[in-house]
Amino acid sequence: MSPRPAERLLNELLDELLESKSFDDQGPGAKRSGPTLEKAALLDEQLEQVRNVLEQADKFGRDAVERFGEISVQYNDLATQAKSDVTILLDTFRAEYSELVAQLRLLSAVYGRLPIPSGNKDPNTASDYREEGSGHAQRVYTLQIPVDKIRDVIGPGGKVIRSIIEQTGVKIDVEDSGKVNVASNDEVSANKALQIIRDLTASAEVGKTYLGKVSRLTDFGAFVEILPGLDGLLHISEVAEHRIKDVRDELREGDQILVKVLAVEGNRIKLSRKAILKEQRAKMATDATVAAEGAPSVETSNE
Amino acid sequence: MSAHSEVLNLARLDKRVDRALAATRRSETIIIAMSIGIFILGCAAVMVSYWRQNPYIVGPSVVLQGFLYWPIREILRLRRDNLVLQTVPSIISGLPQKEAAIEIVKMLRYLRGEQS
Repeated sequence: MSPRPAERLLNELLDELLESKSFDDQGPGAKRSGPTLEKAALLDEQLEQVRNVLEQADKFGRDAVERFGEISVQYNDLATQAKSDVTILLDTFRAEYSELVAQLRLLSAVYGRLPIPSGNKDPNTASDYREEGSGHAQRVYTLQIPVDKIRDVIGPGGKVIRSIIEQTGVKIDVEDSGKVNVASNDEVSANKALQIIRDLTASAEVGKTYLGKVSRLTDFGAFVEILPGLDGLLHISEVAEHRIKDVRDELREGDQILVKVLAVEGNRIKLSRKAILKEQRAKMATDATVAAEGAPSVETSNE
Repeated sequence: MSAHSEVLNLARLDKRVDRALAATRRSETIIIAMSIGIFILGCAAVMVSYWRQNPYIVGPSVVLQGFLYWPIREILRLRRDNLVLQTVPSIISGLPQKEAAIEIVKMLRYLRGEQS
């Protein structure tokens, strides 16, 4: 439905008035691009909304600044208070620590077994301890063994470790990392236990000479126990320098002989007595040569 | 500062107002003629009813007379438009541009029935 003539004319007049150049300096309506009243009203409404939003933002900003100032002041107060508290706590701690050290020193003088840090040093860096306690002080000895040897030290159902404890009277603690702690009041017993553990965990080294015990004789050679629980094969061809028909001609069970480890192949250890004998003979020959070289000079002197 | 700038000079404005008044008057004439026609038809129906002695003919005539409500209302609105149009030249010529625009907005609202 088209507007009536009067309404249409008024709309046109209003548009012309709003678009007129002389309206430019007369407030927000100057820039109105829309030709209709509705557009102008809409623009006014939007401007009002924007103004409201700006006012709210400004208020929020002012509140935030004010609040930040309060928080900053509170933070400074708290920080100052905390600093003061920490200083007091540190002083108290230092005093108590000094007192504790003094008491420990007294106890140490009485019992002679407690490691006491030096009173002259800073508590954080104190490192000098009494090197030796009294004979009653329990000491802990540490030994590192391969992890795969832990089983050998403990034994089936703890049989081996119990045996060591019974033999020596020490306390043994085996950690998963292979660290073995041996605690004992007696240094001799501790060393004995350590030696047993070392022997249990020792492995044959190629080229090294061991004093072994003949544990078993066979047609092809002899088994020699070079370390506790560790047997190696001494083949018949390695028993002596000359050819032998029967091992029993040279060795008997229980004999203690020097053997040299030729090779280690998994659990099998090849031993040689012949190499030792050769070395001994070579050494003897060398000694004889030295003696022979020294003999003429003696004779000369005698003449 | 009055609002009659180069865009709105009074002579041109008078012509436009005259054109609008003429259009209004034309509409008013047509509506009055249609209203008279309806009224005459209604009166004729009453007379025919009386002449034929048939009261049932009067019913439609009453309904037809009822349709006169809208023409009469439109005539009143056109009269109001005439009044508004006749005041426009004086407003445009006598008031500053901004106030003239405000007054025109008020008149538009009045014509639309938004403002009494």
